[in-house]
Formats: sequence, structure tokens, C-alpha cells
Amino acid sequence: MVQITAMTMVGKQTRANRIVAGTSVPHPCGDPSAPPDADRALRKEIVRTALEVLQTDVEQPTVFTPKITFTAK
Amino acid sequence: MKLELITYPVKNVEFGRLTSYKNGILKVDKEELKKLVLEDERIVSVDLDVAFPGEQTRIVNVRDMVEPRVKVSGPGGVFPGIIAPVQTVGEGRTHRLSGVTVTASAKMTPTIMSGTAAQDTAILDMWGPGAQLAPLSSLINIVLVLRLADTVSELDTHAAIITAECKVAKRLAETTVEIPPQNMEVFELHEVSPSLPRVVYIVGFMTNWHAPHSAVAYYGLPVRESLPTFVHPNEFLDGALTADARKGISSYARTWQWMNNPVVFKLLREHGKRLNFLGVIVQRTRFEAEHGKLVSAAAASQMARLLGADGAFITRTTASGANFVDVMLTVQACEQKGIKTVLLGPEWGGKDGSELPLVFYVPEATAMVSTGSTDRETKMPAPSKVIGMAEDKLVQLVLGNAPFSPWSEITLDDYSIAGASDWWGENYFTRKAY
Repeated sequence: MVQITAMTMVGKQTRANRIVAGTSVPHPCGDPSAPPDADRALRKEIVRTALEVLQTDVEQPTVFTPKITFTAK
Repeated sequence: MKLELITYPVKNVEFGRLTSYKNGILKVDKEELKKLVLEDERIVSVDLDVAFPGEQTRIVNVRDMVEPRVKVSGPGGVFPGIIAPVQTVGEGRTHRLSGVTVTASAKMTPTIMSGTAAQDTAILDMWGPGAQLAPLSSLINIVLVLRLADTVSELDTHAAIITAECKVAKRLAETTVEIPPQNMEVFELHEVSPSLPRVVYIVGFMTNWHAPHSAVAYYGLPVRESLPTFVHPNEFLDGALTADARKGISSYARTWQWMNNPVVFKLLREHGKRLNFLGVIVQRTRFEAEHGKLVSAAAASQMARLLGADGAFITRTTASGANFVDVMLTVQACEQKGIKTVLLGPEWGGKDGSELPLVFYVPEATAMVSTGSTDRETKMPAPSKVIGMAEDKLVQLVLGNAPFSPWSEITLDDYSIAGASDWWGENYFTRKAY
């Protein structure tokens, strides 16, 4: 299982095994305020990371950060 | 900054021909106040009613309430940025009518049809199990039953309601201007013995950046993405902090509660006795990514450290879990800077108390005061009078929920009952120390 969340600290505390850092609480998988192309690239990278992480063995709750840049809200 | 707050207790409210206050009797000229409210073209109709503690009355469509206050001397006026110029308040002399509230019950035509930005309403019972939850039921409620014009926007709805209740509240308090003070309290953060512990109050509150009004305003300006702001506690007493008047549910503090925040009052009264009250850090919480949450926590704790605080009293509003993360991170950041913290507020826990009480915690949070659960439900018997219905048969609390008849027995959670969620320790639950 993999959890995509903007609140990785809560993910760790609830002991999710694989946690992927999302963009924000209301939009974990993208940024609707970004231009459509940038939003699409962002979504793709987050989901790609999640699929990759699904195939990764972990020993304890582990946070994975997609290779993305975005402005924090 | 010295504020003299003079209290005029109200024991009874009567409708009469001249608005006046004498020996605890507040006489209210209905027609005068209606005219005052109808100066605003956004409001198409207004009626006035009064509900007394203990009587079998249910108030519906409850949006907001304020305590009657008026500035008698000193800079600015009460409710700055709403009915007075934006000028720093908290100095001079302010009169208040205690034991009474101006309550706005309003019907509007919503344009936001779902989500946290939408308007909502609460119920207030004056008797029975509902009245045992919140101090608002122990006040004489002077209710403004308002109907907004269909074309009024969501933000203008807020503006019309809060302006109406503030104008009426100020007018009622003006009846005391000529009456010599009997009950005066003086609030000042004067110099005190250096041996007293230095304490700051961090009042965290959730705001909605995407809503027409963010939920909390400072001098009438909705607080949005801001970082913590430093405020004198006296500013609270003159109505510098106010609510979104479209949202009645008790997830958010009402304006009456902002004016009567029990933590602010307690710390002011203990200043120079048991502690040195440094002031209030007003902290917007529920940033939408961890970055914002961490920055807000760092900024609030840094402000406390630069003020030389030994201790911080921390509270929050709303049941939002994302919001609570910011609050816990603030506890952690303060403790890591050597500032001892106490966190006060309600738990979750589910209807029967068997669920997780806190959605997030930090090991540094070692001193917490619980004000009970926000998830409980209360069964409230049928009333003999309902205020705020006009010609309607049903009421709706939150858009999307089923409308129901307020004339029947109802079972509601704390959020749906005005003031029932206890964010600041003002309600009636008994605490037990473990």
C-alpha cells in the first residue's frame, strides 16, 4: 500500500508503510492553480513516484518525495 | 494601554417606547432598532424577539451574536473596521451590558452550495439539555430575525448581518453612557515584579483562504494567509476580532465569544498577581501544506521567544485535523525553544468516546487540558416557541443535510448547537485531573 498525502507527519504517525508527499491538503495530487501543462506534469510525477514506491520494500513508515517543485500554500 | 471596562448587568429586557437602561432593566424600542437595521438595503426585513434563559424556546437560523458595548472615551470605537474607523482600540473607557446578547438569526439565498466555504446555521435552546452545553443559553438573547435580499452576495451577507448586530449592540450599550460606573475593572499590562513568570497566549484559529470570508477578521479585515500577529488583549474587549457572520456552527467562535474569550480575561486578571501577561499572539492555522504549517509554528514560537516568554497558553478553533497539525507543531516549536506550553481544547473520540482523541500529537505536548469531546450528540426535547422561522416550516443547518422541523425533538452534535464546542474552556463540562 502507498499513501499520497500532504501531511506526511500524520501518515507516519498512523504507521502507513509507504508515504508519498503530495502538494497540498485539498489537492494532494496536483495544483489546479498552476497552468494546465505544469499541473499535468506534477500529477504525473506524483503518481509515477507512487507506482515506483509500491514496488519498493520498506522496514518502517517511510516518506518518499516526488521530484517536483511547487509553491507552498 | 489602559482600558476601563464598566459592566452594567441586565436582569430583564422589555420592549417599550424608549430605548433605555435603568436598575438592570433594558427597555428596547423595537421600531427604532428596526429602522436602524433597515438603513442597510441588503436587508429586506427585520423583526425583533427576545428569549430568556430557562424558557422553552428554540432559536433557529442562528448566525452570530455580539455583546452590547460602546466606547465612552479613548481612541476609536467598538467593532473597529466594521462600524468604527480602523484605529487601534483597547484604551480609555468601554461600557458593556452583561447577561445579554444581540443574536442574529438570518435567512439568505446561498450561492456557494457545498463545502467549507458555504454558509451554515446553528440552533440555540434556552432550556433543557441543549442549554446545559453553552453559556450563550444563559444570556437573555435579543434576537434580530433578518431576511437578506436574494441578490446579495455571500460576502455582503456577512457584512450586512455583522453590521446590523454591531449597530444594534452599540445602540443598546449607549443607554449606559450617562450612568455613573459601579462595577469597573481596569485592564493594563503594567510593569510587574520581574520574579513573575512571563506568559503569552497563542490563540490559534482556523481560517478558510478560499471562502468569501476567512472565518476570523482583525479590524474587519478577514485574516487569510498571514503569519502570526501580536495583539494587545484589550483589543479583544473592544471587538477588534470578529467572526464570519454567515457561519453559525460552533466549529468557529462567535463574535460574542471573541469579545469574552475566557483565557484573555483570566490572564488579564492574573497579570501582576501570579504571572506577567505579555500579550496575545494571534495565529492563523490550517496552512495547506506542511511547509506553511512548519513556518507558522516557527514564527509563532519565535515571536514568543523574542518576547521573553517562559510559558505559552495555546488554544485553537474548529475540529479540522489539518488545522490541529499546525497547533501541535506550534506546541513542539515552543517547547524546543524552551517555552513551556499548555494546550487547551476539546478532543475528538467519536459518539461513544472510543475513537482516537487526537488526530496528531508530538512528544513535547506534555501538558494538555481537555474540554470534553466535540463528537457527542445531545437529544433536545420539543420547544413551545421557535424564534427565527418566519413563515418557514423547516430549517437546514448545513447545505446538503436534510431539512427538519425545529418544532420536534431533535438530536444534534455539538457543532450544530451555538457555542457548544468548547475551544476556550468557557463551557460547563467538569474537568478531572489525572
